[in-house]
Amino acid sequence: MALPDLLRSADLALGGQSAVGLADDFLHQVVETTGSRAGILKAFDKDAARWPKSLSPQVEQATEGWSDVVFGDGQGGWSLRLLQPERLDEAVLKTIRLVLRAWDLSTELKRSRFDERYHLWELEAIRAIATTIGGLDDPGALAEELVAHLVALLGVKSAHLFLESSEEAVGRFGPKVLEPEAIDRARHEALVTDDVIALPLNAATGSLGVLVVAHKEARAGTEAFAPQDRSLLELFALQVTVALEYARLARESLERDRFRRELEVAATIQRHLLPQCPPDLPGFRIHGLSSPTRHVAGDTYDILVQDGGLVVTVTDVSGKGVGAGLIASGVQAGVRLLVPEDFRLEDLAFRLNGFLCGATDDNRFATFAMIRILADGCLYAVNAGHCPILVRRCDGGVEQITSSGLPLGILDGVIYRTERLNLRCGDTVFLFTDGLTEAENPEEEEFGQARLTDVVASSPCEEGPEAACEAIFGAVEAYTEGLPLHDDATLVAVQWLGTRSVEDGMG
Amino acid sequence: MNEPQINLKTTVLDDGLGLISAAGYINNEGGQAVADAASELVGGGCNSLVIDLDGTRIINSIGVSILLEIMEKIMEGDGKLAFCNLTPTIAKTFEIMGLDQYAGIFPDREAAVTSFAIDGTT
Repeated sequence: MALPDLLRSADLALGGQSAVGLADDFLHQVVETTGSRAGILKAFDKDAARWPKSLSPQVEQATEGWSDVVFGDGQGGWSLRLLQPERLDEAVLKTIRLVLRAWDLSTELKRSRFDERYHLWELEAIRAIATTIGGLDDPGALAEELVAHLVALLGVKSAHLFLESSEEAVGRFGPKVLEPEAIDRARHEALVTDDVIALPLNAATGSLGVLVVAHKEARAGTEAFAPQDRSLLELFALQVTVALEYARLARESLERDRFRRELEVAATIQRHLLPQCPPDLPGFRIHGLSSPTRHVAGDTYDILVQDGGLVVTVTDVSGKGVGAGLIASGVQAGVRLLVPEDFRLEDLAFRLNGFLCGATDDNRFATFAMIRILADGCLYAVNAGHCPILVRRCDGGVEQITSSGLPLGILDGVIYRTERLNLRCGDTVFLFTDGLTEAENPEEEEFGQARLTDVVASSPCEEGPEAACEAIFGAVEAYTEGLPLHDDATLVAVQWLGTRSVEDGMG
Repeated sequence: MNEPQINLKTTVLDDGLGLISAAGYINNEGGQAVADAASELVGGGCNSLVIDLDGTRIINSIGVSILLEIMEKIMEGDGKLAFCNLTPTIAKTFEIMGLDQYAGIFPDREAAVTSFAIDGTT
């Protein structure tokens, strides 16, 4: 057999055929070309081919006359044993060396191509996870997707993603390799050994979980993790951290939106509980308003017609928000239920106080003012820790009905006192909350009770309660120079027109 | 996602065409099991193979390299190799790693087997 036949193996190898597939034919050609009786081709001391194929190691050891040639300059660690070769000159050796070198190059080329494609695979996995992040807000599904990519790319026998629980993984593949205590430690400090890598998922809000991989596979068994494996895992950990943060923020945003909508519904319901328009009752002119607000208020007021007279209440619950709004609405409902024809105001306040003392567990209380004006102008009033009730006489004077007891809800069994006075024709009674007196100017100075009393005294009551209320709110707004009020503000004004007006109206 | 050990089933479909159904993790162990099954079918006279991956969700890099070697061996025997029932992720992996350049990729087993009949390879 001629040397060109040997070179054909090199040509085939460079054409893409594997050395494994070519080794038998090549060795056969070498044995024939060198006139040998048998041959053994080895790569890194392992048999690559034997010719004849039936040549056993026992026969090899029992036979004498082997010539050994080591080709140490290539990648494959090739060596050749030929039995009693007749022709083993330099030309043959050079040809064999050339073929083996071609095989090495072919193998190296394939490995390079594989590595190059493997890096593309890494990029694809990262892209796929990034795409998944955009489409999933379920951490469980995201974890399964991530673990599947990790197992495939790193070639590990075990991969787990732990979030809140160190006992139960949200994404898992293969057996668990770390005890919960070790996972807890890895939440704060990475664990890296030859067999295991556990990385914390560090977010701005703290550690979100732990990503654990173990037992990297090799062609035969397992091998130690390489630095690039850790780098890849760190990249995945970063991605999953971003994904989890994204999912958390999305959930919180939805929750906030839902909560905001519920608050708006609650505020709407509360506004509808306020008197939509004052009752048209002969002998009285009435106007009430609360500062416009979109949130649930701790202020509320109510106006009821009772036996030809009026009952007016103003309630201000400590704090703001839904809790305060619920208590304010509860007081309003209680008053409506408890106002019988001849109910005494101090008894009503006593019962409301008892009810509230058992209804709140967070030290909330309600200041409460209530008046009853009979058709003849007789005024009864009870004030439970509330701002003074102002009676603006038609001659411009202002009288105050101050508190006779603690606010409702602080101490059970409090006795309240009902004040009584007679209104004169044209007198106007004002009930308000401290949102008005505590309104601040840009220098953070409060409007104050004295200033409010002065404004009430000078308000145009002769034009009716609506004009008076507008003047009072206008004065407060001018004082604050347009700054928003810190608290809810409520103002109700009732003007008694005298018994003659009733008779005139009836006539 | 704890996939069971690979579950293999081999069938000789027609003269010269063998089928390997592989369900499970194709890593070094699973891949070697597929390679052994392929060698058995080739030794039994099948020069072309269909590998049905229905039930296989993950193939790692060693599994891919073993599948590449199976492909080389089949091609050196002038045979052909086809895969079917790949998950989208595995299909993308095969595309990136170049398996689809030399092996047919089909949506299901019937399409894969039919392709051999049309080619007349078997």
